[in-house]
Amino acid sequence: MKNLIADGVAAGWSYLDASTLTADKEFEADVVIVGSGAGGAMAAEQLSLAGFKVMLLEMGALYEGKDFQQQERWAYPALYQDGAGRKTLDQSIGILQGRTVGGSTTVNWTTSIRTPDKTLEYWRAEFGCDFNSDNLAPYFQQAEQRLNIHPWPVPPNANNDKLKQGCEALGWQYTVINRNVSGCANLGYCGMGCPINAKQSMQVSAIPSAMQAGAMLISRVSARELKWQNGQVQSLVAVPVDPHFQPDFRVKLSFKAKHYIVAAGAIGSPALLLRSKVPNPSGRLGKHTYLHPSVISGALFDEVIAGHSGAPQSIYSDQFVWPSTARMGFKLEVPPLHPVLMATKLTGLAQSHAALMQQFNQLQVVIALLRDGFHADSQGGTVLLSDQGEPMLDYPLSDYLWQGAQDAYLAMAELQFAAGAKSVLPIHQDAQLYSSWKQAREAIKALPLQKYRANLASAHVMGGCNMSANPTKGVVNLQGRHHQLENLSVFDGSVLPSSLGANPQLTIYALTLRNTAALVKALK
Amino acid sequence: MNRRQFIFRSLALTVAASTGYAVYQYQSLQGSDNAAVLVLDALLPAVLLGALPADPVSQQLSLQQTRDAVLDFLVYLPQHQQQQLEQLFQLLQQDLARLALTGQWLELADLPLPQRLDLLVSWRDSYFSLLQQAFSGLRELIYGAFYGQPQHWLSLNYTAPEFNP
Repeated sequence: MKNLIADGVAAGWSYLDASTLTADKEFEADVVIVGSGAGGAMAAEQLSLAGFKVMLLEMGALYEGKDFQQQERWAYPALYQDGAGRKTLDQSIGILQGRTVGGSTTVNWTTSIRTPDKTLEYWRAEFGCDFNSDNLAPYFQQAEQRLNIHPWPVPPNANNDKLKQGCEALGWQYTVINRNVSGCANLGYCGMGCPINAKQSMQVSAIPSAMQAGAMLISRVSARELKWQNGQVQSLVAVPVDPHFQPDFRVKLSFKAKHYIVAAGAIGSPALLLRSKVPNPSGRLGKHTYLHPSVISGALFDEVIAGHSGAPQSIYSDQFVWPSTARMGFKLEVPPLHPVLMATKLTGLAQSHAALMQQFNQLQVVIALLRDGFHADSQGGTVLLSDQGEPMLDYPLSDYLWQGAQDAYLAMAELQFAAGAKSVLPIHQDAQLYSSWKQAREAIKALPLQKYRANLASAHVMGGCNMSANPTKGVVNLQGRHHQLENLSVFDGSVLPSSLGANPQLTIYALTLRNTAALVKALK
Repeated sequence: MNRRQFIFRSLALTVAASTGYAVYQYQSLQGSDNAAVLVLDALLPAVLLGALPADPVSQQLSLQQTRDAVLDFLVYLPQHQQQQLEQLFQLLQQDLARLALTGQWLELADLPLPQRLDLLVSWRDSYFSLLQQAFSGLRELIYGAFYGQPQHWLSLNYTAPEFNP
């Protein structure tokens, strides 16, 4: 197995670990990109191939291929924001978000779904978006070809198969998932970085390609402020990070470019723009941040599930994503089951928790991703800055969302019993193992719908720099260009004006390809 | 005592009696100026009841390693969160000290496990959101640190593969 970037660097590619710098330094490029995930890396490749001198900045460290260890105690601090301990401001929702070269694409579970038509329709009606599934199709196809996105041909692992069986028994819709893999060995450790370069994450695809074409990659660097005046960004100020990824202000790095692309994720990008006090006449910067807040349901089966093994996500159900009533919709998926992820999410304390953990291999878990946004009572969260200038996401939980959470607990329990579960445990502090659907249904209806009682998690952060045709309704235009600062673009999940009702990576790839093509034309 | 607390208490007493539970003797209530260490040392044996190895030597080692893993993890959190946690540990330390005083236990190690579990459950069911956060946050830190260590996977019948040894 090759470490593509390390081998390329040995052969002359341009790479710098900013934490090795001991003195201030200035850099110049045509385009500086902050963030090396789905948005930043895709843009870097296209711009480099078009002949622009690109610098790609990443706050996380460079890990790839052989570096990845299949242990959560290594992977979470090394590859995730806040060691996978990122939370909303009141600590009620845990957020899994990548922070490494390749961003979340390095650690995601490979699910690749085109933007749902209903989401595009909503954006058209509310934000004047001019795209639809037809005019976006070429960009979806380009991303799908680039990253080898295909329906997963291998039978699902038992964890996913139970989702499928439950849907079949109840006559519910389900779909075989498209995955961005090539030569996948069905290992199950996508969330800790693919050890065999099978997942077509950015650090095995767009980043090596951009570097081959001359782009410079700088890791362990935290972008602090865009200096701007007269409607133009003048420079970007950044600092290295220490071994625990905390900004180290002793060394200052300055970047000058013709154009600046911010792609630091839907928490990091608004935070950089807020620190820079960029013009914000719409008042929407850092606002309307969506999470797909997810509720969780565990189930015990007689047979072995071993949800740590095999492609983590290969089946989803959209039975409840777009309900005919005014209730909040949700998408049903499963997560990979690894010891730390499970131990921290499962309810119970002392003996009762230990007893559940001992049935680790019989445990099956379903998650329901609530489709936030799309409703007056679901306006998302707000990115705020701490005294140190670090982002904090305030995400209030409305009654509308809690109603959706209850609907989701019910649907998941019904599905798990239909798939043959001997007991079901909604992941809620007041829930117990229930041995029948009837018993579970009554109990779930009585569960208090409150934060800290229900365990909520998110793996998708969207919004905060939303796109809009009209500058009064968004931060960037429909090409991702900032409405007020001429040489600034935002190319990541933060431009999405609502959640998606689908896993976001393919949407971000397609929008970035579309917007980068427009940028290349504009810059030439 | 509500029903849940009663169940936890009885459960803890039964287990402590049946395993000859090794009491974790590290800090006295007066002896530590590090609130995080003191709080973790007090809570780990309670939170991990039923999961710790039975052998007293391994148990002691496991508690130490888990505490150290929690402390090692905290530095990855953003500064504002580290500061909040520091304040929280101070508050919880006071809560523990108060509990010990009412029962006239001078050494933290003497504080019975059921009392420690009751305290945790009282944080979980508190009206104060800070204590509710403390419960879920500590629980997550402790279980994350404990189950991150391969020596604790035996009872899970799990081993992590090594694809690139």
